[in-house]
Amino acid sequence: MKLLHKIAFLLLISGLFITSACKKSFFTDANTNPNVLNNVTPNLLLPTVEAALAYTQGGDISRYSALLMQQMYGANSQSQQYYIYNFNPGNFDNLWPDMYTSALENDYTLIKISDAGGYKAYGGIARIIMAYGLQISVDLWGDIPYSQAFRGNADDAVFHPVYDKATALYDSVAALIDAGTALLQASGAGALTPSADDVIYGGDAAKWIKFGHAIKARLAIHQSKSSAAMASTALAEIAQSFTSNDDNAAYVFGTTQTSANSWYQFYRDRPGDENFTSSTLAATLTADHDPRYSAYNMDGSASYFNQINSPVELITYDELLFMSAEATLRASGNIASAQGLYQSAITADMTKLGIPQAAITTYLATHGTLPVTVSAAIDTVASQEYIALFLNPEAWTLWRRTGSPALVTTAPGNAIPRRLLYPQTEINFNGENVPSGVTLYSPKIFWDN
Amino acid sequence: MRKLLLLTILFLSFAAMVQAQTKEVTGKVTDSTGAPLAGASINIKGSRGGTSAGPDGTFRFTVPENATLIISAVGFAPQEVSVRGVNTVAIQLHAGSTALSEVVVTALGIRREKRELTNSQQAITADQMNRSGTGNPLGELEGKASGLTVINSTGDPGGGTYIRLRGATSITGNNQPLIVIDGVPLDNSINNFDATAPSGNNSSGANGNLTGGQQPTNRGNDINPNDIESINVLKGPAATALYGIQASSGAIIITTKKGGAGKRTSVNFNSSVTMDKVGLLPKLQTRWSQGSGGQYSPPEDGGSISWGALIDTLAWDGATDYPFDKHGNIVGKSNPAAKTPVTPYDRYNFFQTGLTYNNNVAISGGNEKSGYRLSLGNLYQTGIIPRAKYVKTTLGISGQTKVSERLTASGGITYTNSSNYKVQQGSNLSGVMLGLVRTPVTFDNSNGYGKDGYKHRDAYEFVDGTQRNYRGGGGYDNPLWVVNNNPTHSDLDRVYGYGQADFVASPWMTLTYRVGGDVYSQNDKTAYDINSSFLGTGALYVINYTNRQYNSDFIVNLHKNFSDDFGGSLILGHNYFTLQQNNVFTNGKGFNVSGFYDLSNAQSIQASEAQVRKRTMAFYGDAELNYKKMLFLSITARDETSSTLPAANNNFFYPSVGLGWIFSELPDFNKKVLSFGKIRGSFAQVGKDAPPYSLTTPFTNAVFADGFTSGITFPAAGGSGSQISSAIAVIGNPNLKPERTNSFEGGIDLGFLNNRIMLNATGYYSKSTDGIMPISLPFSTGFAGKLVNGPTITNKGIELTLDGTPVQTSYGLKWNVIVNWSRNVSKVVSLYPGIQSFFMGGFGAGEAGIFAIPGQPFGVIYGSTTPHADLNNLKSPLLIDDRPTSATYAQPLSGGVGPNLVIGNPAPDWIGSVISNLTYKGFAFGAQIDVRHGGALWNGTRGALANKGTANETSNRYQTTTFKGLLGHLDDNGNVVHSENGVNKPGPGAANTVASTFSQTYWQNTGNSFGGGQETDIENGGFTRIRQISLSYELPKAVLKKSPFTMLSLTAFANNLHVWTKYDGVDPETSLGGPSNVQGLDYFNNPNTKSYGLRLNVGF
Repeated sequence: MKLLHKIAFLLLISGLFITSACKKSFFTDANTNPNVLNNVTPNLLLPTVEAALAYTQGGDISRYSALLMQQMYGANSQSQQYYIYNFNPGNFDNLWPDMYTSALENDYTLIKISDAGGYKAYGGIARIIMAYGLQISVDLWGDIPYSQAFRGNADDAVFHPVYDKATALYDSVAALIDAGTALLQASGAGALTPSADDVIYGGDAAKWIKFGHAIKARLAIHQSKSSAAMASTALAEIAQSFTSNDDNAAYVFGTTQTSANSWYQFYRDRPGDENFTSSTLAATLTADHDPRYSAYNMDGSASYFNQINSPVELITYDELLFMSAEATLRASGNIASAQGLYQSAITADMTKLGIPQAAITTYLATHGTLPVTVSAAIDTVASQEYIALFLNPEAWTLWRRTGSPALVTTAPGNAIPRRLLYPQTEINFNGENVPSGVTLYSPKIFWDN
Repeated sequence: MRKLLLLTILFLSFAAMVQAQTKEVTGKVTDSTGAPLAGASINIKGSRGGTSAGPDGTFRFTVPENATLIISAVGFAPQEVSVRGVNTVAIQLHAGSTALSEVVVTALGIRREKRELTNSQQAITADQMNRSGTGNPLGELEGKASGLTVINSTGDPGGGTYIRLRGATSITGNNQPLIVIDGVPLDNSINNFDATAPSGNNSSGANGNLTGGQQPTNRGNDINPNDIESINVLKGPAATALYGIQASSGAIIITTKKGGAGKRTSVNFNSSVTMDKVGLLPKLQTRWSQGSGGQYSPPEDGGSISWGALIDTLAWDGATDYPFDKHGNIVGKSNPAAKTPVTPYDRYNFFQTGLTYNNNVAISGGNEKSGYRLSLGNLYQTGIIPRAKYVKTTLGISGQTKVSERLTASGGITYTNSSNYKVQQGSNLSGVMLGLVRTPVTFDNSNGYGKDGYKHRDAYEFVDGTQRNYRGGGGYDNPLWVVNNNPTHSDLDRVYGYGQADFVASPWMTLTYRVGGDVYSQNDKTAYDINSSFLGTGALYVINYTNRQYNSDFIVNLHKNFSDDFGGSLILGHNYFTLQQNNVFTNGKGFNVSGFYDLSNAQSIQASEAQVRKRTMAFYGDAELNYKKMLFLSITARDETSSTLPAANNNFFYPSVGLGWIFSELPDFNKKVLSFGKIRGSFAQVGKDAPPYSLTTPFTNAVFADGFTSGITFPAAGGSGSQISSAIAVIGNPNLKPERTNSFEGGIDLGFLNNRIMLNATGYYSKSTDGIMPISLPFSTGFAGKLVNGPTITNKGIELTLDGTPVQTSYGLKWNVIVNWSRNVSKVVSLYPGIQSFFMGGFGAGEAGIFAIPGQPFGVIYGSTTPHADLNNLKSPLLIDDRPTSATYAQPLSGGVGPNLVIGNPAPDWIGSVISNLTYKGFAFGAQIDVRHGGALWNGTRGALANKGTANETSNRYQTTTFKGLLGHLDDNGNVVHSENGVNKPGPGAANTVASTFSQTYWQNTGNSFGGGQETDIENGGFTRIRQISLSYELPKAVLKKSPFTMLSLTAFANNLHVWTKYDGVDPETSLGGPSNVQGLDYFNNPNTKSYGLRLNVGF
């Protein structure tokens, strides 16, 4: 019997494992990741979305546009190649996913969560962010996926989203802004409302609404070259938008290395790849005795744009003033009133950069007067706006739609690109939908003429 | 529950039948001269029990009534003896081939005679291990078994070893065999974090995209090879079906040395010292200076290339205050300041002689009932790269005792401590080789200190803390800076072991319970000091990996001879396995003070955790039936539950069946020439579960980056931030099923001339379906991919082993040769509907990456091409640019603009080895030659060096040539056209006759993969190498009789003595991806070594 006891003992040991193992939850519990959340509230997504959008614009997009627009000089490595327009689809395999996943998929999820939970303020802001992200993406690529995009994780999942027409997307942008504005104006903002988690506006609904109008103003001005009506539309939107630099839509980065401004990070991680001092813009500013030189000098120590917590500006008051000046010229040809707006624009920009009023006055004395013909005046406005849009991808859009300022190609034999290529990942994994035959020059974005 | 009930009933019914039918048997084992064979093993056939003979060759052993004993000793042919009706036995063993009736330890520690096996296994004995002095147990396996691929990633101390049996079956999972030590699975993880990799690709694991960082280690290297008694390589699913999920890629079954009961106390001391020299290196040109367009440009200009002036035209001006060179500035010879002519610097005057001291002492012994073994090992290794170092100490204790006549308790525990100083490698601004071989011949990284440069701060650092390198402080790090200012320390503490009880419940039933654990903590710390090229404001990564895994097996072993002709055994078992990993990643960025690598010195600190849990449980059975020692049938089944699968699919079942027929046992078989013959065949199915946590799409802490900056990690402005998606986010799948592999194998084992020559041949075919992998989605879906059951992969192959003793004379001369040969052909049949390729690692599309592509072998190299006349056919002639205005006129078209194609297959056509052992009296001469035939390797190093102008092949610069190919170019739509009188005509034109030169433009655009098509740098990675040569002398026993020693031998050996290869770079046995699925890439991999050593082996 002693033997049977021992066997029983052994059976008992194994039995312990077996019985405990028989509960279903014994296995499923082990497969629950303790390091992640399965549900979040909107205040955990908004900071991510804003940071991702700012980082993407201030990172790859800003670097591409600044190199193409000769606001920066590509001295080394990839930057050197981009500077002479050596791009292949693989070069966009960081930018495109950052926009579509970190920024916009998370924003898409923010919209869903906000709508489901009745968080109207968040839902409104998230739609305006989506509108802005789409607007700058359309201006880079033209046709892009939207109507079927962001649905990889949805119940009715779409794995190969179709590409929507750029013109239709401009309508979608406007519709998003309208819907967002309606939510921001609706009564009962929701159980949770944004405050410090909204880095751009601190939860100020009125400013978000103004930002929505600013985006719509851009949509209009982009299409205004052959349409005085669009110029008028732009003016109408601007009238409902920013009224001072305090309204600027800008994301101010953090003060730690891992929340740092994207250009600061680029200078930190890839020193020597790009510089400002050898750029065409630097030469222009030097020649013009422009007081903005030191604020723009990325290679210096006290630039407005190269500090750890420098802002990435989405749309600013001075851009709207430049737009006003241009739209006025296009809508009415009134050079005198355009000149006032033009001077205000330069003043707003310089004030934002902390330039003393005396220096602004001196600069305006030599550069504050518009030429007497409308087309020359538009060129002058655009050339100044190009300076004010330092590191802002809108500068490239401005140049493409106005041709100003006149820039000389950096790659003899090749013209300055007029669009980006679709990324290799889209070609590989969404080949049936991605437009083929795309080059850096064609097809142009629909407003580019 | 039903299974449980069934099992319980089975147990109880056996228990009820139990009767004490054992008896004690005594015996004596002698050799053919009658001398006692101390230490001979006595095992019960078909069971686990065993003892060993004492110093006088006698043993005493309680066995089942009618047991058959297997008596074996190293160097002797084993014998079987039945104890039916007897209590005393005398066994005389004869020296001879052990290949056939050798007893091997198969799955779950079951001992079986090799002749009875129905599947492919290959044993490696202790004397074949630990020959290289490297202390790397897995590296030692190279060439030792057919079908076993072993790749030592680099010569770095502590570097990883990749092993694979047959082909890969899983695109994303681990394809390395399970390592089992004394019946307990041992973790062989790669715990590595590569801060230099694109965000999110820097993690560990089978597919960690390790393109830079430090050479990863795999934890299987922690074993002390001196403790290994034998290794059995279980090659296919048929052999490993009992181990289940973990062994779906085969298993390496390691049995450690034990002290035997009744053995006298003996001490073995084993010491070796090895000298490592750098092996193959890329050849560099020594004629042209730094600069471009034939003009010298000095380091302070920051240029990265060596397309400058001929150094014969240059001189040093002798300036003593020039920080970049002690000889002064470089000026033209005609310059009035010119003093001494410039002479080339030797960039390889950097590598050191590495030294390895490997010391082991083992004490073993025992009394009548118990045995023990205590072993202490220490490995101290310095690398050929300055400061690289690896120190490993292991302490192992094992013992067993007979608690009662029926119950044996045994156990063992091993403690390992190691510390590894690693250096940066690969595609990485701090990679040692990257900075070293791109250095122009006119720049001395050591600033005159030569090999000792690393000891002198002023060689690589200016007084203001900035870097002294050939690019004026930017670009890539000075290798001497790297070894000092970018250190990685990896420290490990590990304990693994087992406890086991064997109970002879009845003559035909043995119960075994074994519990094992493997617990370790690995602490890594990597620093990038201020002014490093990467993370130049200073960064520190402190990572703690903790791994705990426990394994429990309860095994009922039943064996019965039903009649003289019929026998059988049945094993029933239950297995439980649990894994818990707790990993903490901490990084600090922005140093306040340089050279102080402490988190307190960082301006910002971030941390994250990754905890992984997994549980599996299984019931299994193994039935063996034999008839007349001639027919063997083996059936196994395993029913497994895994926590990583969805509740609805988490239980799965898989069987195996095997049949062997020893036709030479036929009554009238003529054994004169063919003394043994067996045909065997088997079918097996195995499953593989999903990675933990793959069923859901959770919200994680937000982290994103682009390819240029390290990006944003939350918390950031605005506080905490979550994300559901990022550029690497994969959508979970709640409907995953287990992966399945169905495998068929057939083989024949032949013995000739009284088994002096043994030939084993195995052919196999396996098909793996429902592979789990993330399919890449277009990012416009908002995600990077989704986990699915998709791929179907097949593998087929042949494995041959020839083991012969051509010479064996009565006066003691013996020559044994083992030849291993194998070939595996894999094919990715399909991935997933609509999915054309899967990126496994390396560099992305357009550069050289490792991909799975339907219709292609597993893990092919895929990348851009230089345009050919037929764009999709790499064998068609190159297109030679026919546009006179083009910069590449009369040269091959600019690379990289051709389509992306499969450009190489890293899998060799075949691998083989010849191991020869010649012994005469006390002398033994051993040699091993390894051959890898074919197998592509992407030589990205060569590509970059050709582009930068330091490669020796660019010595032909400015020479005139007429490039071979057809005239043409690509039109705006990417079609091949040629120009006729300025008009584009479709297709290529005539053969090129226009002369051109090997210009800087050529070398920077089309002559290499760095600027051109990746296909340019696909090379044949095949080699033939003298893996090892050794000569040893063992003092005769007669001489030792009067001394305190029982054994004394001295061995001189050399590893990697010579490599024949067409590969133009470092040793082609190299892997940028380390021990991961990503094989076939070389991009500034650290070089391999060749080594010479002496070993002393003393027993007393």
